[in-house]
Amino acid sequence: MKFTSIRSTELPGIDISVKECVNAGQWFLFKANTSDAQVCFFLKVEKDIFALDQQGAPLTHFPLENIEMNEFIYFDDLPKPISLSNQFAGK
Amino acid sequence: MGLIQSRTKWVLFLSSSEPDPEDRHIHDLVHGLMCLESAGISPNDIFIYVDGANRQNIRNLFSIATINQYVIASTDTFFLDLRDNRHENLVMFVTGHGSEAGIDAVVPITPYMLMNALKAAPGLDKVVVYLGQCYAGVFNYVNAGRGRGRDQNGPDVILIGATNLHESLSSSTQEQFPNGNLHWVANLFLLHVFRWISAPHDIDGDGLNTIMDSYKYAGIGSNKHNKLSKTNSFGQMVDTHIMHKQAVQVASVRTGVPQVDSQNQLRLMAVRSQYYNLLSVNYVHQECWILNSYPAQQIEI
Repeated sequence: MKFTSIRSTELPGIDISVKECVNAGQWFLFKANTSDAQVCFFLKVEKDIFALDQQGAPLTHFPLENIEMNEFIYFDDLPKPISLSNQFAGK
Repeated sequence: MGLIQSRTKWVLFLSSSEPDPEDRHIHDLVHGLMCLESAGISPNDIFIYVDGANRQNIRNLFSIATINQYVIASTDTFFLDLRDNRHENLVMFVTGHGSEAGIDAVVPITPYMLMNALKAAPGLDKVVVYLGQCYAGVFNYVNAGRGRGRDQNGPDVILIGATNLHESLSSSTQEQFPNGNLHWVANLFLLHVFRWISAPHDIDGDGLNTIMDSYKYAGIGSNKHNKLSKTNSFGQMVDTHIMHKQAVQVASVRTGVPQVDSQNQLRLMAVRSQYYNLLSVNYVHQECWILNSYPAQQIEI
């Protein structure tokens, strides 16, 4: 499994509220193997998975199933949660 | 002799009545696996039971924590394995959903379903179960002590609940794994239990690192964060309330362009998710509990 950080401007097709949910760990933006050349990313929203193009725009609103995640994407210029493990260290 | 040094089975457990469990619950256990291994527990003594149809994806997620290969079985296998138990002790970590019916599963796991299975396992001496699911308090006030219940020769069972007859709290975090930082909405209590196990220390000053110390550490850590997140989220709630109203309005208009409509719907779902999460955290109370506390003061990690 890989972890990749990108600038939020690299995916203009994704609304900032969606990007905030991704960085908060509520939703998951990831790459996975697919035979569809148009699909560059997947977005997991609760139980549903959406396919996204190179810009991050949704290709279809039909949910996909049984996709195997192999790379998580986060946005390095947007707020990220503080580690709970470190939050109370030393107090 | 402590649990790590003796013949102890360490169980990571996630059952689900849905075809697949929520990713955040899998991540709770992925983090747990990393902590157990870092505590020096042998991979041969760690057992993972997770329900779900997408088995390869579950294996991919656990590979975040470890280079070791684990058999990841479904949760009904846990009960079958108990009948053939070969360990002296068992420590179990339960995440996932819960209700008044017990632990969420295709057939919900009631307190006595779990207790009777543990008490009947051959050769077990001590059992510790950490319950992270909502309404974990339904597992309190049961016959957990040695000599109690149907099987008079069964093990001493210690039950520790993240919360009583309330929902349990989860919160966004990012935790460091070997290949990078994973972000997820973590079960607060379990995260702190795992953190203590990876670096045990004496809380109550008796000179021992006991199960009671893990309970006190995780309870304090959860409650501290609960107060902090409620305090910090007040301003966000006000802002997100306005954003939610605007997103509802925008998404209610069909533009006729499918991609734009999909984006508006996704934005609404994102803002709604943020808004409802802030609201629910503000109203959820969490108070941990422990049953059979006397042996918990003696059992060392």
